[in-house]
Amino acid sequence: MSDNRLATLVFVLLLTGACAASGVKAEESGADARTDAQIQSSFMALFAGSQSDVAQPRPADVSDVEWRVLTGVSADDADPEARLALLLDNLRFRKALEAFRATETAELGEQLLDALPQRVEQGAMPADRAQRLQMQILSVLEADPPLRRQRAQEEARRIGVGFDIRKVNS
Amino acid sequence: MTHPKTFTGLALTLALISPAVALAATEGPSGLDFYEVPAISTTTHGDLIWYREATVDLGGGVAGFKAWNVMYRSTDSLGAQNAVTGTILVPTAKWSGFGGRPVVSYAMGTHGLQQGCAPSLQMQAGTDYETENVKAVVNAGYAVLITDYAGYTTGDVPTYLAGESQAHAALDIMRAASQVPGTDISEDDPVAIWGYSQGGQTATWAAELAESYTPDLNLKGVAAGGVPADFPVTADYLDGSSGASFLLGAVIGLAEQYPDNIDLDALTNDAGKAAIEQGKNECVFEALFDFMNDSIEQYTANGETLDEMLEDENVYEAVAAQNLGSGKPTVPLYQYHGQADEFIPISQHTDLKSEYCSRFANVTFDVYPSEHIVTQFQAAPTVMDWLDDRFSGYPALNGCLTFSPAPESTANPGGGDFVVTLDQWFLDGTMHLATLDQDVVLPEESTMTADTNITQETMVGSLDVPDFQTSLRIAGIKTDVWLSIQQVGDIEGEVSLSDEGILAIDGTVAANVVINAVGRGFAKIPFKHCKTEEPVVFDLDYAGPISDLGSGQVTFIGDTYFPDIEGCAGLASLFTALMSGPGQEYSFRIEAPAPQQWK
Repeated sequence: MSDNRLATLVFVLLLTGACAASGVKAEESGADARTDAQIQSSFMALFAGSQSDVAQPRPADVSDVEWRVLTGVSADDADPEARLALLLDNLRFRKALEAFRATETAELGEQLLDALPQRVEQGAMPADRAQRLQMQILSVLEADPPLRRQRAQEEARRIGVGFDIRKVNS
Repeated sequence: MTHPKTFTGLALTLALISPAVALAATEGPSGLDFYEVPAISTTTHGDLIWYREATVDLGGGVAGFKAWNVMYRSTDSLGAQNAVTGTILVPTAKWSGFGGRPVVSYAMGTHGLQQGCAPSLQMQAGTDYETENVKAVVNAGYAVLITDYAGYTTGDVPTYLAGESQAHAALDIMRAASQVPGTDISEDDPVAIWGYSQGGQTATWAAELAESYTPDLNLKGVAAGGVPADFPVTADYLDGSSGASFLLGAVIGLAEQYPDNIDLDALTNDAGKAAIEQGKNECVFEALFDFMNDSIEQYTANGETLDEMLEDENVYEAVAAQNLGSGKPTVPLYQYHGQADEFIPISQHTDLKSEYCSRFANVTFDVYPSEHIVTQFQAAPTVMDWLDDRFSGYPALNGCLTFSPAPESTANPGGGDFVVTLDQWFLDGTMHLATLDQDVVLPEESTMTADTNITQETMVGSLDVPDFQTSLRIAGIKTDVWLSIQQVGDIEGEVSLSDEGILAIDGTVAANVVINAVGRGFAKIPFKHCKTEEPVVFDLDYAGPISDLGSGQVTFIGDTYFPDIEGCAGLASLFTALMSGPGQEYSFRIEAPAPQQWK
């Protein structure tokens, strides 16, 4: 039995097992019927057969399934290590953003703001999208509107966007 | 048929003759001097007056060919001899089929009345809007003959829409072409006639007249689309509508052919006289916009309406003389029409089919779903297949045994904005995922619907992409992914049509990409809210000849940014790493739905 077929079997067994545990068949189940853990477990099973030649150990902040998938995707690249580094960077940024949105901690917010100029410079994110993220983050970090506006201008300059905020007299 | 009052057309033509005397089959001068009618020794219609080698620009994607311009003898609608110009294209590749190389006399549609609008001059300049259809014929290996029709000779005015004159010109060019040295065209070669709109009128008239006017022609078939067959009905449809410029052109052209019937100077007011002068000096798209929605009563001496004008016996006689159906095509006829044609009513064309069927003609009628201009170019592949069959000697199946009612018009109402509706056009879409370096192909059932308002220069529409499954190779594992493309808001954009017939679209559509499930085979891991956290914005930008709309060549190509993915049961970060980011290339090609045969 090939690795892929074995992986499929494992995946199906895990998937049906997860559904049986919740009392529904796989084909009939909806997302509501499963926990995130069950879904991740099924997803892990899906990629049980993936292989990569990456020698470096899995970083602690990357899950086993994430590591399998990202190293597997990078393996096809001419420069697997550089590709893996880029993918990990994207993964970590997204995780940090999710964590910030969940916790609204200032430290995470500042880290994200610091990371944005490089992401724009590397072409990982367009400037307008980065600026919208800056505004989202600053709306949490900075309660005082004048200070927030001033900070927004500073942060925008870091990603190459210049603008003025003027008070409009009504 | 009854001819309108005999006109002194020969005298007028002779008045334009220059002192130079041309002998048959002599080489003509360069530049616009070629369009100066010389003294002519021959009186046989179809005889070559002069010719020259020509440069013709059909754009890219065309097989090699040689080109000539010709001036030849023909006959106007009243039987007077005239001189007509045209173009001959012969593929350079040797004809490998059985017998002589087939020849298609391609009858052009409305080009406008100014001399510079003549098909021969537009093709030379590379600006002719019908080149896609001409290319289709050349690429089939057939020779193409394209008459300019009467009136593009220097100092003359085209007898636009004078049916018999146009048909004579399209028939006579075959004999003329056979007299040009080096074309290798023989009078015996199999020939077909194809035209659309004005050209469809020409082709159908030729189908009726060929047997009597050019009895020796080896005519195999005629294809005619968008035909104005009943002139009073068509005139009423155009009056005060988006295609009003065609009515103005018809008035000018028929007055030129029948001056004893239509005295333009007496019938028009100052605005009418100015419109006529302007109309004589414009090409088709410029005139289309300049006279859009104008009514004939704006231009008549005492505010007479179209109906009142047609109550004049002489005027009516000249107009009704263009009606088709008093004769019978003696070769198979392929008719076609856009059901949403906003310029030429489909009903009077289906009536013509019924008339021909009652005379036991061999007629096939296809109904295309779109409007006038789209249909002109959408039909080309079907027409070419039909012509191929005629040249190959296959019998044409007669579509006269009809069980269904005639198709009813779906055209947008006349008198308002010029709106080209794309109703559930096929959307052939592909997105290239940058990180995974793989394509996602949209399902075949995907469609785009839009109203392109040429007058207001706006486009509003929507996409309809059914939920679909695609297969991606992720980390070496074949993975099934179930996706939805959920449009957010409308397709919005600007659209314009230039005087040169160039269509420009500058639009956008936004849509969320939803991952419904991943898995393999029958085993799925479903997600409930797994999607891009912001809509993906696709620019829909295009600029090209208007013919591209009908020929299925309008393709929106670009690259966009896929926002982060959210709501995927703890897998959003991984999906974001795999699918999000810039450089996501896409290609969306739109194509009009297929025609239906009316039978």
